[in-house]
Amino acid sequence: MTVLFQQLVNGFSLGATYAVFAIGFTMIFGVLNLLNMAHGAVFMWGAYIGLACVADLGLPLALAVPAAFVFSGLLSVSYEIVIFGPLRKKEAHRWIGLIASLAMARGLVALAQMIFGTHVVRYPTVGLLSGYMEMGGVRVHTLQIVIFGIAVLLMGALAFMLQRTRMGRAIRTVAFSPRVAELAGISVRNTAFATFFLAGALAGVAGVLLGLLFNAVSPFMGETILLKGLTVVILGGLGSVPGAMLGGLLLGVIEVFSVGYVSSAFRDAIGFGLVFVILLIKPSGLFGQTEAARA
Amino acid sequence: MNDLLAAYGNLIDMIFLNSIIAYSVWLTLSANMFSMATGGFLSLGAYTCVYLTMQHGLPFFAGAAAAALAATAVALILGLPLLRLRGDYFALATLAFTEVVRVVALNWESVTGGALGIFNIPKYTDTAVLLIVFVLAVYFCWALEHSPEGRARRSMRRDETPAAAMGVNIFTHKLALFAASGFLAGLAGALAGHLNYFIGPNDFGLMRTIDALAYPILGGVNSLAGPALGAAVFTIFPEFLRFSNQMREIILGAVFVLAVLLLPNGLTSFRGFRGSRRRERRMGVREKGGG
Amino acid sequence: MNALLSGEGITKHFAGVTALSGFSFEVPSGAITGVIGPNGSGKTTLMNIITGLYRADRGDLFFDGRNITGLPPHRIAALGIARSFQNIRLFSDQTILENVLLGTHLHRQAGIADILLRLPRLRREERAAESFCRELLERFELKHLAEHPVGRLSYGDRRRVEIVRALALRPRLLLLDEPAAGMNATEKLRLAGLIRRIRDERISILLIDHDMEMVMRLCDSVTVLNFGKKLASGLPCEIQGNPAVREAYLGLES
Repeated sequence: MTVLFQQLVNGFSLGATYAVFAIGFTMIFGVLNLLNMAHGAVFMWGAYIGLACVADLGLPLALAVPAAFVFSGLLSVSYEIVIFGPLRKKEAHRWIGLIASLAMARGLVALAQMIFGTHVVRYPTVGLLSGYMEMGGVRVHTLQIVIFGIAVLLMGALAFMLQRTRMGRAIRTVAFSPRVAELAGISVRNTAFATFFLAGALAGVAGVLLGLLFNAVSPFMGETILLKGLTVVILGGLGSVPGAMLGGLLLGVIEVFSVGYVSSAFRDAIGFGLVFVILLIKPSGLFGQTEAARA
Repeated sequence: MNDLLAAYGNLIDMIFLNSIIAYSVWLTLSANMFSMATGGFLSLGAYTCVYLTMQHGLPFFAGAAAAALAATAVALILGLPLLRLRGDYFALATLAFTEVVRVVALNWESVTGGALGIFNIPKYTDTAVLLIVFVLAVYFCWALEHSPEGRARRSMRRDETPAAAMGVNIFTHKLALFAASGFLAGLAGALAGHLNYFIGPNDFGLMRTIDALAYPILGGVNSLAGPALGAAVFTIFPEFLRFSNQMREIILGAVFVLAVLLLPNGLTSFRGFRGSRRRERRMGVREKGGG
Repeated sequence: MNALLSGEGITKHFAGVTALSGFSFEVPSGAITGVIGPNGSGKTTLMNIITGLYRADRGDLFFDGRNITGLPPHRIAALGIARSFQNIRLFSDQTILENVLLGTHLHRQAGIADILLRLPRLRREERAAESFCRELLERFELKHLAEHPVGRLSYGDRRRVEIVRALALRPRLLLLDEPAAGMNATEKLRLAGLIRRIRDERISILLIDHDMEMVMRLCDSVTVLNFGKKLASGLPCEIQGNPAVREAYLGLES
């Protein structure tokens, strides 16, 4: 029983970071109908910026996270400016955007390698976060609480923003139909910027959080998380923000349990195996709309 | 002088190999399937062939044939459930397949050598073999294109509903093309396995898949010359950037982005796809609007 | 009765909206049968259910005595049911001839070996199909447009090409979904002549439209749909005199 609770705690803190990453990916799909394969690169750069703030500048985490938030948000907006915006104007096929965003991601990974090196770097021992408390044999690290707290805070803020603010309404209208949005006087271009900024900012923070959780940052962490993100959005249904939240937590828990009970070697394959099974049973994802509901 | 020849010989081999892969991808793209299973098929083909030749002493051609058939069989089994999925879900599910194959290759040490890969593979693949397979692949695609099946495929790529109403069995067509794509990729994998003395699990991952997709998309999907052209350009071009691995990636990325911005229609032509993009968007709006 | 196509109790819901409820109908052989009804009365849903695009929630469809409920579109086509679309769906990057040639798809015998080895049978079949399609285009006064891309055609010509494409299937039953939509008076008159000629070639026709005039002029019998239910059916003159129809439908129009 204790082991079970311990793994739930570990799974939730891991899954929360997956969720924060995947929300942006699914938002860009849901609002702009794009598969942004460079979302992982934003995540990786966010992790490096957070690390640089803490390790090189000696800043506290409370400043490193916002720094990564802003930097990654802007980096993500640059995708819209450089790739997706111009391609939309040219009415290019969406596969082109997918391929171009992957090219962009490769360039950004190489750039990170040049600047930060190819090896894995670690955080300096963060005294404040290394503590833990025990509750009935279950060990909960302060770090896990902080990570989970930040993740929940961000998701809550995003949900509030989408539901209650003008920008949120604009984003939801464009997601419903770009044409309707234009008729209602909403600028699709500005909404795209906002969507890319929010998505990137969340991914950047997720990068810092996962870097802290595993205490490892490398130029290649973006590709791994992108694959996790894809798993999460299929679990949750492409374009669904609540689906990504649930899907992220689910994947985190499943991964931790699979390492505990099956084999760590196949951890990465289990998520994908799950994707297969789920798509066979529900062709539009676990929480996605069914075909009939759309028609 | 010999070094120079060796270098160019290798480049020519790579152009043929990548062109074969490009036609494998083209078979799926030309029916509106964005398949990311190519890496998985390549990997499957390479490991199957190398395993059979090195551990069971089969001749190369038998190993390659077995590799191609194995990939075809997997494509059929994979296609049966996955082809029911709508566009993006299909793409992501095929990517999941490629990743599962990679993870299996990473861990099945007795067959794949695990993370270290397999060394000292005898080099059976030479330029002549590659040329023959390349010519056969082009002929296959050409014959298909210039037949009633080609017309059916072009029609269903354009608009599946009226094509089905005219009696085209969309599912069977797609499954057959997906299997043919698997066959070619499996064969290409076998050729790749015996080309460079070494294979490892990360040779056929997401990046290789994306490169493979980029060849026909950048070359132009509407022309039969597109895949080979795209493969040639994107095999030769990086050779000029050999001075720095990372600079090469950065410049490649930048050139790539520039290329699609300036030539969103591919090197040859991409007209048909622009039309379908518009329709897709229109339908997307209607679909969402209907709630 | 010698009904070629009949439906019994066809019901279809979309996310809570009932498009068709317990609708039954008959399409006799060799005649032009009309289904009319105001927009949103379930006409196109009916069409899509017959051609296998949608699956009815309840009810059965019979074609030539055979239960065809739930067959996929290409199987329906193979049985000899061809259709046109309300929002013309030609393949806009192909020529007229290529569009029509797709209609011969089901009549091909050439297999994969013929295709890959380019055996004579492939070429023979292709030549036969082409001359058949050119002949068809000639009969409907479209021969001069055979090599034209679809993009350059007028609206009325596109309608006719779509109907000819359906005829290339050599169907026993032709379904026409609002073929007169968006046509001017001259074009409508020409279309009516064309539809009669098709009927005279012993192809049964199911015509779905909200254009009362067109249906009354052409059809041998008419069924009226309203809110997914059958309101009335009978000869055109009976329908015109039916008070319920007048109230639900004609009253709205005039």
